[in-house]
Amino acid sequence: MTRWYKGFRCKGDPETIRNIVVKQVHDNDLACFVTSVKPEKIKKNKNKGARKTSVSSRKPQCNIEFYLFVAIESDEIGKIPSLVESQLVNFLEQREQEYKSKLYKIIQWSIPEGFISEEIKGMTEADFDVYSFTQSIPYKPHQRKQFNDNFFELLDTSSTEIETIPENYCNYEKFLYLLSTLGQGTWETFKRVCQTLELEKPRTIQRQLFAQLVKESASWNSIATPDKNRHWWNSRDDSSERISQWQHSRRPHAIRAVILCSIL
Amino acid sequence: MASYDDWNQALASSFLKGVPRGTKIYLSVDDELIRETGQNFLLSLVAENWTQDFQLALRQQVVIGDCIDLDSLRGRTSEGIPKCVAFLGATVLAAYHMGEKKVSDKNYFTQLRRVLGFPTNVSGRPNGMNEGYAAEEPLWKMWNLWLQEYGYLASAQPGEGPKTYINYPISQSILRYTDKERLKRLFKDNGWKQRWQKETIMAYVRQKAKDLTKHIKGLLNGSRHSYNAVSSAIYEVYEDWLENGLALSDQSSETSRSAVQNRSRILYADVYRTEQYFTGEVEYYLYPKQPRGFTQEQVEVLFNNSTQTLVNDRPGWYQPPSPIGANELIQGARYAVVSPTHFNCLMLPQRDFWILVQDPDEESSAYAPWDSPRLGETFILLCKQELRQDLERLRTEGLMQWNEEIEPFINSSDWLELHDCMILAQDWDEVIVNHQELKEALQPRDYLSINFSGGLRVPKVGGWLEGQEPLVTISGFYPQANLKIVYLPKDKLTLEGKYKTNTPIPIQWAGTGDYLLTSDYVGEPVERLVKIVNWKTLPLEPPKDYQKLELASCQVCGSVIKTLST
Repeated sequence: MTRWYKGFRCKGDPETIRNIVVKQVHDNDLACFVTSVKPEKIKKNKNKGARKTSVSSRKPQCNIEFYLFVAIESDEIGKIPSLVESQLVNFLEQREQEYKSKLYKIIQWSIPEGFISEEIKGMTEADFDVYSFTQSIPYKPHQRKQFNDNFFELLDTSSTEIETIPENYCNYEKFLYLLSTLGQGTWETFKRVCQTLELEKPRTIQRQLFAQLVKESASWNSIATPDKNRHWWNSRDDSSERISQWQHSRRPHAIRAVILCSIL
Repeated sequence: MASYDDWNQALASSFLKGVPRGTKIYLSVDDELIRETGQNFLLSLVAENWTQDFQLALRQQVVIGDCIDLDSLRGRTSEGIPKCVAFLGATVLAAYHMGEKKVSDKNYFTQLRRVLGFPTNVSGRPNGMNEGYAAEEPLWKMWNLWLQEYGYLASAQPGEGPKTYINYPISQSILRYTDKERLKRLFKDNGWKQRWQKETIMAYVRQKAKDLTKHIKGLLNGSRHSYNAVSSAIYEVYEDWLENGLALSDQSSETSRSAVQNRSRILYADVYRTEQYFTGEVEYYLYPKQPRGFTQEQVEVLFNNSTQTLVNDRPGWYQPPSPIGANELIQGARYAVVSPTHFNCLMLPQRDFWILVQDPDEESSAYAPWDSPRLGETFILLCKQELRQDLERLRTEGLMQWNEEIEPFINSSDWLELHDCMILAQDWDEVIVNHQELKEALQPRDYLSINFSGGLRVPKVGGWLEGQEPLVTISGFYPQANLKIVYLPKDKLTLEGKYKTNTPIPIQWAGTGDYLLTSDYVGEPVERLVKIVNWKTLPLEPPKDYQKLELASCQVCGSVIKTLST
């Protein structure tokens, strides 16, 4: 494999165009053919004391004409691999950018001959390795929590839907199962679990949960007879055995009763 | 004298106890760690010092005549701990003592022979360890696998060429003996006697990096995981130096019985932020950190003349015991530790800023410094108003962004919260800000990060439920990255490919169990573990909060009545 340079006459901001080229290389997996780019040396501002500006704060220089050399690895000098031809060269030749309300092609023309490094060394900057290219991460802020999401409100003002147990009851089963294992948690957790299981409107869910429990309660077994010492603290002496107040009540109805209490 | 098994169990525990899941673990054994482990785990000292005691136990286990026999270390103990931990620790101890000389197998094996009690005038591998691939490498693989099973990231890895096998222990020794000595000299020469915070000392150390060893210079520019490990190690050296000064560094490298070294007697606390559900009012609490390798279960602290027992929250943290306000944040706070007496106080350090990330274990409104923010993750920056100028500079330069500013304390305008902060760009080196420690803390160390979103997490278990797995996104500064997923129970590669960054990737998970995700493009790869949990294995949580009713001088809670003290 031989490494050589394909030259383009460009118009626009050198750094922006360099980044367009390198991004196209990465987006199309061309890094095995195109290893670096080399812009033409351009006279620099003599103010050496100034700190290097970042991508965001630097003012693009949109109307500069310059040469850009793209390092290509192929069998022979001047022979462009077909993938590079179609995905990079053609792309660059068609690419336009707007400047002062007019569209300009960023590539004015391309030089048909290929060059070796020594031939362009004096007129170009150092190679910019395509793997040195980095880009900013898109900023995605969280959606803020809505504090008026009050589950004590009985009705959704925006909804007139009749509350029914939907068909995706399997997710409701999962939901109940998870709640029973968590034992406790925050309202955010409750809402998040609803969202993930595609159970819409968490507040409505709570009411449906309540309705389901009421419905189910008809089939619950009667609880056992409470122990006579259940209210042992009311006895006048200390002779009564201290027992659990709800020992006659077992799961599941005890747990469900707790849920009902918490909803009510 | 403690047996090899005692040391093995104690060392394994000391590396994981109090360490949050997802942390990359370095088996960084040195004389100081051996001493601490011996003391913390109440092992019996019979030799001149703890290191000698450890070496004697080791030799009894693996040395037969002039030969090493590692066969007895190839399995696991009845508790499931690899039997090789103490031996691997001994190999790291050898790497720790290699000093600044050229890293070579000759240098390493001379030190290993010293640790094992073999003559050092003979070079090369000890008898019985003739081939690295058959002798020590399977043990390192067992250690790595065990860490992954517990939700930790392994860091021991082979090198190349002649360093293939010796790189395992060398990669574990974060700071070597000479590195520590050089650091202490740096602290002394510059008179850094204030008890600075980690970010501050790291900012100063970076400025003076030319005075440090090549090894430290390399570590300072490492990935997020290795930076976290080295900054903690440097801070431990700093605390050690503050407590003991330089006097001890001229002594023998092996801590002698008479030398009384005092590792920090301070328990540290961070801050825990939550919001009142209905009002949105911000509340801050003290959030005590569990010291690494600390074995005593009960810690009692005096808050407002009342003794409170700290309750475990999650590995690395106790539950928030007490609310705090702007004053505590400005001045810092100290609370007396009643027990154990080893600690003098619980301290909330005085800081200019706190970086708070969202609860990594469950969906809640809580934020705390559980970890440093990953690329692509948002966080809350709680800072003094005086930092605003620097932060605006960073924002103008396109390095970070936020979308809301609030003053969290009604009675104080000294503090500011920046919400939904995110690091956007990588080019921080040439930005000049007044608060170097702020830059040190925010500057990204990695080019890529593996992030999870969505799915149904199981609190405290540290996993996602089957069928409700997370979306995976590789966030980063490169336009694309490689992603590899290995299903650990079957050691099977389930996904490998190149993906666009900052875009969720659909994953077909192979079932319940642990997965190791690795992403790279250029340079050091980043890793994360994912656990997928079967619905049927969900543990039933016992109730923790009891409703209490106060009646006259009594408190009623279910069937229990307590008399309220007056």
